[in-house]
Amino acid sequence: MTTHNEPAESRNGRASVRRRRFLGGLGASGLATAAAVFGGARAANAYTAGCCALAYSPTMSVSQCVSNARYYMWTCSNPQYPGDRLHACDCCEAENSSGQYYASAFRCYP
Amino acid sequence: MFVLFGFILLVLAGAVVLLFAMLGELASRVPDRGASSRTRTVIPLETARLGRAPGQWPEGLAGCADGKPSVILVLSTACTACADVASQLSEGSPDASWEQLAVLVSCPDPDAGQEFIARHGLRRFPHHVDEGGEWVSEQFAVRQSPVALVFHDGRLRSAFQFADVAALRSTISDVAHQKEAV
Repeated sequence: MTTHNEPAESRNGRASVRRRRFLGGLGASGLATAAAVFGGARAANAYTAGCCALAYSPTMSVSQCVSNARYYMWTCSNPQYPGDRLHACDCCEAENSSGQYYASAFRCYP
Repeated sequence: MFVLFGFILLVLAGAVVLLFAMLGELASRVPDRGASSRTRTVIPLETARLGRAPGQWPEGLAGCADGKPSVILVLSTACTACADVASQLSEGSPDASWEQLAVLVSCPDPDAGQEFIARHGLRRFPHHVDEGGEWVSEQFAVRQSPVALVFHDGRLRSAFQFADVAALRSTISDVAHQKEAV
């Protein structure tokens, strides 16, 4: 029978690896939780232009938007001036041929 | 030592999350600053097809087809004021228990509409997600928000543009009393 006296340096090395794994796991869990809590929601209507809440930063004109095969067009009115055409905006979301919305547009009156 | 450090880090992270949760809860209880600046103007929407009775009602709005007076708020995911209107209907607000009320959400895709309904807690009301706003525009020539459609005997009797739900209720009530008096 032989006894094995492990060198202190080796024991410290293994403990260090365990600590790193523990802290790494802790960090990964934190990131996963943060991703689940904050990353899960759909980033819908991220851009406000006039009284429009658009899915994308407006990069095209309304006439370009409505030239797409499919699009969503809606008029909003400014709550400060309801009914006043001078304070209404047309909001447009353009859809590409694969059925995905990809760009937004708006125009306010006049 | 390192385990202790990790534990303390975890507790601190939990405390930060708790702090943000508390701030969120407090923010939801503080009255909306927009309420004081929100206009109480309510304007008839003259372009709506008054007198029309739809041939078909969406399932969620079927209750509006019977004889009782009812009001449908037309909101859209593409309208900033609509989110403000929806917030006025949040649980605990005076207008949250408006029994005649139903909500229609016009949206580019059904997911966006359902998300709007869920985010603003509008499931408590009869509701319909109107993809592209097709039903409401075909039936009543309404392609804008926020708008209120007032029904009686299943027919559109009046339509209003508004920003303040309390002011809208007051206007609808006044119009109904005037009609009764006549």
